[in-house]
Amino acid sequence: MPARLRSAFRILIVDTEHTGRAALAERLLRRSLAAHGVDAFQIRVTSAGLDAIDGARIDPVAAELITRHGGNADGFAARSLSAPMVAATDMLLTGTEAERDALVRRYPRAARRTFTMGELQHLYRAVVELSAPLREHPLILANRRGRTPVSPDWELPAWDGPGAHADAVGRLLDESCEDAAEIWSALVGPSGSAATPPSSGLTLDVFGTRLAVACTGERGDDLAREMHRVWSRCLVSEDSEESVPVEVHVGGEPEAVAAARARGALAFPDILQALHHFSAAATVRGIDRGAGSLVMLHAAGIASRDGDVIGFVAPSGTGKTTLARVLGAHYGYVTDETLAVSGDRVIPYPKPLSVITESHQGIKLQWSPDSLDLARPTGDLRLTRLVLLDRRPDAPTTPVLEDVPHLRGLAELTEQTSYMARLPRKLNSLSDTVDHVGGLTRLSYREAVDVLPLMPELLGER
Amino acid sequence: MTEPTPAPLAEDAVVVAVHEDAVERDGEMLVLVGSEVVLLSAVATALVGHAHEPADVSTLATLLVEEFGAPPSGDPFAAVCTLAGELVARGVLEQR
Repeated sequence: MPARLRSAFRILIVDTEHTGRAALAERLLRRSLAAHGVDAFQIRVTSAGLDAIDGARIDPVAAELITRHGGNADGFAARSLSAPMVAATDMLLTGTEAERDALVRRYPRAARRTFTMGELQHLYRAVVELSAPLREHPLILANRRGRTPVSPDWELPAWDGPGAHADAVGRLLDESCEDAAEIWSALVGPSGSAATPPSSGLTLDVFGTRLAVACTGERGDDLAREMHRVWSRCLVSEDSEESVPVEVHVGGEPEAVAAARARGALAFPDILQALHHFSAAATVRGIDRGAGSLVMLHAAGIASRDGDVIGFVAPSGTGKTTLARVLGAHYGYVTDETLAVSGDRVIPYPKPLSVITESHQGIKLQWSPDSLDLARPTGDLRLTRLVLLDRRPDAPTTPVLEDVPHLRGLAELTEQTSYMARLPRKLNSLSDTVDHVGGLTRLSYREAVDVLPLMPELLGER
Repeated sequence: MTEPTPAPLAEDAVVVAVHEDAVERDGEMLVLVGSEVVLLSAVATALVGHAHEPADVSTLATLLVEEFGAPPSGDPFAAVCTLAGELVARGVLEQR
């Protein structure tokens, strides 16, 4: 099954703080599109804030409104709007003219792609028939706006906590998202994932190791569909004789689960557990195959636009995924857990991220980096920096960077290296990697968002 | 839980370095023992360097005193017996 590479029509909803209206609009539009059979491979809806604090949580009022209108508020985290986000977007939407104008002042080239949601509704209603591909709509609508200035019927009311204003925002967005989904769903091709499973199997690239995954059991097709979605960036089209076979079995009678386990399959009662445990299983199989040839660090990897990768090294459960998500909104997401290095070359492993979700009693669910709209690294990736993370609540409010003496740092790094003793020159191989990146740095910080302003310095850009 | 303090070795105990791999930098050494690493001080690094061939602790103590001088207080031989005991306990040295 080849990975689908056609690009989605990208919509970015923008407000100021990205914890209320834009979050609400994002989730309601996703809801409406899904209800119309449109998946994220066809139209991808994301959001951001002009003055957002990266990683901020959703306003509980917005979360309640999303749920009330049949959407899903899980896994949301605010992010600040950036030039690459704007550049990668086909259509930008705001709730108010003031936010539209602020966005256009900051990114003038986006003017003809940026509309208020009221304006969009008005423009579509004014155009009797718009039989053009969706990608051409922004320009057509902008031209029409240019010829006949429009006076939209509505703007989103101010966001000021629970009450009549918030309810009105919910109702307006609910209607406009439904309207937009109805228009757009007729224009995109058939969904690839909603109706039929792409295949009951898939091939994944785990830093060079090919895993040939067979999804079996009563819910095997559903699992395959979910696997394609959350592992979207690790899918590869070609299988090979070298592929490591993995069977993942879901559902059915306990006897069937037991039989699957007896023949060596990973077997689970439900899809959530299968996705959760498969992530670790896939990583471990890649690590087993990479032993002796790759330096494999317990580290998140984040890349600059030039392909320079910073490895943020830390034990499991100490904030790598959160950091990868916050930084990945603005820099290339390489991985959140296992950074594989060959010489100075980094082998990306953009696996799903485990994110705690509100609607599942705090259970961690697997999220595709595409669903979280993390940036894609481009070109060849080179390791240029290794940072030992020291995240603690009593760290200085402004993150502190300090050089770590070579052997002391190497001792710490060894504990976060898989199969170090199988490397050709053991400790010396790891020592060479550290020397290559100019030594180790320790980063003491409290919150992931505090690290964002340090990125230019860490990348040697200033 | 604190680890028990290893017993000092006798001065006539014979030891030899057995670590699998090491990186030296600025007079200190990081050694690999099994799947663990041990960071050695400058004195411990010198001791392990002198114990590539089996040697008794008093000979090693003499060499270390020549190299680093006597410690400011206490018996240098007793100090080396304690250090060698710790290195044996960590698997960096083996007692023959």
